[in-house]
Amino acid sequence: MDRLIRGLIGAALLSLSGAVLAHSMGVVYNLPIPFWMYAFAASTALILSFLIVGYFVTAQGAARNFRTIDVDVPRIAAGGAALRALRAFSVFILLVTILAGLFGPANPFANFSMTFFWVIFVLGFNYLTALIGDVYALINPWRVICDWIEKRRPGTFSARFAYPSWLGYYPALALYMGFIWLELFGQAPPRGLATVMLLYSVITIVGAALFGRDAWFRYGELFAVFLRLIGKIAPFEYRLDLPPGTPGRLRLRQPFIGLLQEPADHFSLLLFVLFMLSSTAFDGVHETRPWVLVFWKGIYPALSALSAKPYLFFVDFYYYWQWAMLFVSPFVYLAIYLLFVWIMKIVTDSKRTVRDLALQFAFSLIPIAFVYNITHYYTLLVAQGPAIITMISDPFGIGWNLFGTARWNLSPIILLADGVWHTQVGLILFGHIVSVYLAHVQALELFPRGKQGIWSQFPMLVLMVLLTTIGLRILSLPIAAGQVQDPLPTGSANPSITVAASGLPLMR
Amino acid sequence: MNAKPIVFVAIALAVVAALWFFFKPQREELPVADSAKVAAAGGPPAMGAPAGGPAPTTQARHDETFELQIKGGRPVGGPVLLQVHEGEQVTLNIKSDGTDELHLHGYDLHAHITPDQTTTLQFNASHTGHFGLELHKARTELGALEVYPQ
Repeated sequence: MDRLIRGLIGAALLSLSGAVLAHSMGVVYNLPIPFWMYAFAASTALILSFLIVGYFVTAQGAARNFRTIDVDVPRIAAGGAALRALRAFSVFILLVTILAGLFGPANPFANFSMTFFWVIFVLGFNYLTALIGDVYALINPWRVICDWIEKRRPGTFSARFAYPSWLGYYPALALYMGFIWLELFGQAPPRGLATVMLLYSVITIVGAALFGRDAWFRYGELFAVFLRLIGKIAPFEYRLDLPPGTPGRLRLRQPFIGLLQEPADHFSLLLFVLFMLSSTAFDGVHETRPWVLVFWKGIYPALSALSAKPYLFFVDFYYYWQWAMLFVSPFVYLAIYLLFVWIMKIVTDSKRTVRDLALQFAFSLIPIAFVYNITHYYTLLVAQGPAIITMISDPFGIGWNLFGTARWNLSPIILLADGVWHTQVGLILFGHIVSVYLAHVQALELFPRGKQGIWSQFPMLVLMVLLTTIGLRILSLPIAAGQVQDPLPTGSANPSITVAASGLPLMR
Repeated sequence: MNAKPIVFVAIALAVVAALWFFFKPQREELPVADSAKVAAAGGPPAMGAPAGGPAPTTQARHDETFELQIKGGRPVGGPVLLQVHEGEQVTLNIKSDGTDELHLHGYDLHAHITPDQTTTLQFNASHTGHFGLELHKARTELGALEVYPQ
């Protein structure tokens, strides 16, 4: 009876590997980039990196271009009616998203909450932040809710505990890992997503009540931490939270230069940045054929030879292996990163510690992480994003037509593979060049003494070429949607294994 | 005006152009290294599928026909990864032992499958990309169609 039940559960698991649930938002796979493109991009990254080094070598005192322009912002914008309206709207959208998730259609493609959260917010708003700066700090719906509560019940959010400095950004990092797990493996339907958002709201409000709003929204709220980092890319910095009476300020600066403004202030923030990189890399690789085969042709035969567990046990184990690889991924990147920082320390004979140097260069990795995110996900934004136009007219799927767009027939925009390849390669090269540039400016700042400055740049150069090459390589790997021939002869204990794009094997 | 950055940007662009022309092949090759295995995969011999030899890497654009077999909602015969070039006429002949609904993502094509009757799905591979092929009732992934640019 027990075996029968396990068998049924296993069969249900296998049948759930349908394409619709492969990612939280359904499948949009890009064709792997052709190998020659990968070779071209990797070589170009390498050679251009040396060109940049050459530029810096011959540019004595290439001081940081920290020219900024401060613009006073009129009272209307700063803390005024417009900002208040935006903040209220932000909370309203959060509410609609949660309600639509709970009570709207169960089909993830038809539910407002799924498209709004995973596509419009996680992708669209993320990229928008890189363009216009960290506006999330101003309109964070959870922060707004806390502010409203504080107004009604003053003292609710006066910190009961001082935020421990050793805790750093680890809460945000833990939430980030949970978030990516949800995205890749949670297979949460709209109702599940809404439940998670409610839970997250509770965590946020409780965290702010315990440690105070400023501390929690700086160190603990996942999206606040994430978007604050992304906002450093933008040429705009907002100072609208000044004491009443002082005019608000908008600071204009060069794009990307915000990443050099300050080092990472905690080791956990370095890990956070590395997880930005590694989670996208993992998402790119975990459904490719070579990766999936690591388990089914490497680990599985070895384990099944050693143990008498039934096949279905290993299906479970395969899932847990994938999850473990996700959680381990930032530490792999950490090891690589620290190795090169250590080499840099040796080469420059610097008195600074490896940890200190690692924090100084942490943000220079963000451009690579960011473009890698875009290349991986932008086709989903383009394909599924426009659907929001119809959904806002009928967010709960009950027949409304608020803006007259509910009946519009918008077919998903599927970009041509050629254009996607060129865009991906172009973006990755661009991000790589920016990162190399930033690292070199940083190096010159830290090691200004002549030859030391030049030599200090090579370890970072190699590191970044390595990271970029890995990213490109992942883009070129075939997706696991083909049959895999088990090398063992027929009649053996191992049946031949077919691996679907979900990574789950289908029994013959 | 400082000419140095401009010089370097010019050199950089020249380098990029040179590398591009160095690496770009004459004609696009289908990455079909594994499809020889795909076509010759075990199980009942796929009828009419590309024979067990190396998959066509010739650049001649021709029409592709794929035979798929489904048993108990699972693919048991025929290639699972269908690779074609843009613009080719694709024909899928599907044999199943049960009723189901086949769905090709992206192209958004549906085919109703009945037992003991070969269902044929014909279309022009006009969109490039990687598109999942699934059975709705059984909620399984049959595989994918990959359409490569010219």
